[in-house]
Amino acid sequence: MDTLKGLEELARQARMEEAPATNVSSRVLIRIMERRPSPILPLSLFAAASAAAAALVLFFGLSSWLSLSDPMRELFAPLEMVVL
Amino acid sequence: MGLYDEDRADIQASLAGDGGAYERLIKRYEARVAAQMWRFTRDPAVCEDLVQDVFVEAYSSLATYRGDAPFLHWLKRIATRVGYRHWKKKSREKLLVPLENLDEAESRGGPQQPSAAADILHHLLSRLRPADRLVMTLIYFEGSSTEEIAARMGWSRGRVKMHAYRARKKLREIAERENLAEELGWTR
Repeated sequence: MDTLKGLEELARQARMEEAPATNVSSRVLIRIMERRPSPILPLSLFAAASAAAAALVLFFGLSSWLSLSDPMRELFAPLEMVVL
Repeated sequence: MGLYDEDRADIQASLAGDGGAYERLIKRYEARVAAQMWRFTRDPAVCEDLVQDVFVEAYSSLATYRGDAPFLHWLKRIATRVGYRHWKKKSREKLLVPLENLDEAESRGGPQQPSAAADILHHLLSRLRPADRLVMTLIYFEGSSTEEIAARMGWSRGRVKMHAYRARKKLREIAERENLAEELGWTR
């Protein structure tokens, strides 16, 4: 018998083989649950980062606001009388 | 309700987060997927891991299933890729199945017994490069045509034919070198 014909005959026999039984459903569901990202965690992280950034901006903004002088003051400054 | 409608309903429910629906899909197709993964390994534990990988990967891509082909065809495409990836990983680890196992396979009833024939064929095909091996595995074990393999792998038909030609040439060389014709009684 030709080698390739022999292999085809072998394949014909092999196709009749039954695969071992498996039972994977529970493990698949566990793996899916482990892989599934929690929708709360990324949102919470984003909210916390936004709050921290807002607090920083508020802190610097407020201190800058308090240190601001009247912008019109410079216009009148040269006119101030110097009392000798 | 037909199988196609049942699948569609379970897929929709799975996408909505119903674990029970996906469990039904797994149970419906597990045996078919296991039969395919058994062509990629002869180790029952590895086979079970591969079946798990197929269903986990299928779940991740479930939203991309358009329903224009039966769900089983779509699953088999994923299964083929999972199996092929397994072989490529194994070939990087340089793990080859020794051909000496032929004696063991023969002692279990010879090539006339389906499991012995599958063992022998698996050992022979393990000598090929992963892409050649995949093409011949699908041809020999599943009776797939070059067109079906091309569609399943996203390859051109010419590429599949090239792999099949190279694999057959290599198999003939191995068979002659190992004197398989005499060992398996093909000369009778």
